[in-house]
Amino acid sequence: MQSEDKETDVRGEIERLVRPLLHAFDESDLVRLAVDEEEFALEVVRRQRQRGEPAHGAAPPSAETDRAAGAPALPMDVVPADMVGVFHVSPPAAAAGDRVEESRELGYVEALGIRNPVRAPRAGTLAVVFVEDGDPVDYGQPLFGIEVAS
Amino acid sequence: MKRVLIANRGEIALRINRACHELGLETVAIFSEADRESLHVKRADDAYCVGPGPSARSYLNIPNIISAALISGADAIHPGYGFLAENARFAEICRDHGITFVGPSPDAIRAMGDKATARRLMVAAKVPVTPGTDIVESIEEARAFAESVGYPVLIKATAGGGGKGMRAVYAAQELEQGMNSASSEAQAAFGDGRVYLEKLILNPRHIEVQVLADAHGGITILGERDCSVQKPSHQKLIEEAPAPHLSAAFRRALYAVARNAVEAVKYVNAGTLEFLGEGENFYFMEMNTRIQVEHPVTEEIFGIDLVKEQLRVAAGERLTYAQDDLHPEGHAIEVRVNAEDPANNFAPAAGTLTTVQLPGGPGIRVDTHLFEGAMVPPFYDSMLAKIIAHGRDRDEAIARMIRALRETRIEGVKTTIPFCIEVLSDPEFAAGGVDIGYLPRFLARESRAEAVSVR
Repeated sequence: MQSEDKETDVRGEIERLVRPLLHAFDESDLVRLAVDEEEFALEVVRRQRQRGEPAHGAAPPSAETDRAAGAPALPMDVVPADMVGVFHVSPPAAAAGDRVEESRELGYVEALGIRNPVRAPRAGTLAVVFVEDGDPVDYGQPLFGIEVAS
Repeated sequence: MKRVLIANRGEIALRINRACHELGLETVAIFSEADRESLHVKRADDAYCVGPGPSARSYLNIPNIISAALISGADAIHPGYGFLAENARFAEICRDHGITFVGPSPDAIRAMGDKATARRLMVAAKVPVTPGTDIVESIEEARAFAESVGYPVLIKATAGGGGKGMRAVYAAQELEQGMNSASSEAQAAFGDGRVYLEKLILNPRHIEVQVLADAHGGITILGERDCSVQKPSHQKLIEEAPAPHLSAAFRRALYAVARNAVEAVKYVNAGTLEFLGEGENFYFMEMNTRIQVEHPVTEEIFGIDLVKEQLRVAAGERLTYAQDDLHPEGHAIEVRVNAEDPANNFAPAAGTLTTVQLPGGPGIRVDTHLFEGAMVPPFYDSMLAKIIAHGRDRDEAIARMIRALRETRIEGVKTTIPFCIEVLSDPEFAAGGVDIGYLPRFLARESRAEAVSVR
């Protein structure tokens, strides 16, 4: 989404930074990507695919091995919108810091009158909610960040 | 109409964006993940990512595009060319959601998109067509037709376009295999393997007429374009307006036929009737129910803006011009600068553009989405830019085009620029009125010359 004030909009800025990184990560053979800037930290770890083969063959490191290696940030799964529509929070609303179970419906994207649920891909702590109820979202826009439970 | 979603990318998305802004309309761009940094995204008032790089999941993703229009408050969609421009279902879905589709009615798109139906309608409107068949159901039917008109014949897919599902057959023993391969190619490309046959006119000229009609019965015939310089794949490379060396009688007949055709199908918005020209005869080939890549040559000689007219007509207004207001001036030529290697069968190239220096000066127009550092993604059409030269006459237009192409520097991918300079400098092209066999002959001559020099 483009907006006039996106340079000053923190969420827009995070989104602008995160998406290309996620894309590059997804295209690569990397299993872990960490960014640690003064005002911005991100760590992404490729998790084992639920079904079938892992996308790039390599086994992902566990959160524990990361800790042992002294990685400061917790691994986070970013849940993107997979369609264009209007985002709504599914009650009861989960807030940042809440523990969520796998498959919990966190919200839904309403597109052409159809509710398309957005579910937690795994259990963990809801670290970031990138959008608000009623926000228009486009394809690939980050909706939630979930810290992987250790 | 206040806010137009532009369901396209590249130069045509920018072209539409410009027309909208000149008319005081807001614009909404759509883009794939591969086009996030594209100019059409930056120039629009709002923009929505509609899917990943491959166009089937982004620029052809109807639910996401309609959803983007609805949530962005767009009340119209301009489809440009390619992608969804001639998808009748898409035009219907727009209408069902209260969105104005900038183009003809779904019925007109459907009728003209099905080549057999289009041919039937044109015959009824007394438009000359090449001798041909309806859908052929059997090889016996095909053989009987080919024997009655004589070889060569052309097998064409009814859902076809861009040369797909098309086979030329020069002798009886090739017919069955040609039918099978055309049909299976059409089935794979369009999901419709039905084919029909036409007498093949060897090396005709490609002459097309630009038409523009409003919903109040206003029709203007905006002259013809000559697009005979085509790659062996039948894709156009150099287009010009007017067509060189047409007799006054040919033109009069051509325009009268075009007007009949528009009236017969009650066509509204911009469209192009394509004809094969052979001597003083011409035969209807197909109608394209959209704005075409080569529309700028018509705009240059008539001094009009076809895309703005499309928007006005779609908004229910009358055409700005009456036929009597329109007088062509001079000659215009367009060169398609593609990221392709002519020495390697026009193989498309992808990469990052390290240098982009575009031409300018008198009589030169450049329609492009390029900038230095831009990525040319591998997913789409390889066209990088259209350079249009307008001159007092054809010679001046050619001289301007050669000068402009020499000024142009695009580095990072191979382009068709050096090849187009050679073609424009060729005496046969300069003489004017070449047929569609010209470029393949030119290529054969070049490769023979190369073989000699290597030896």
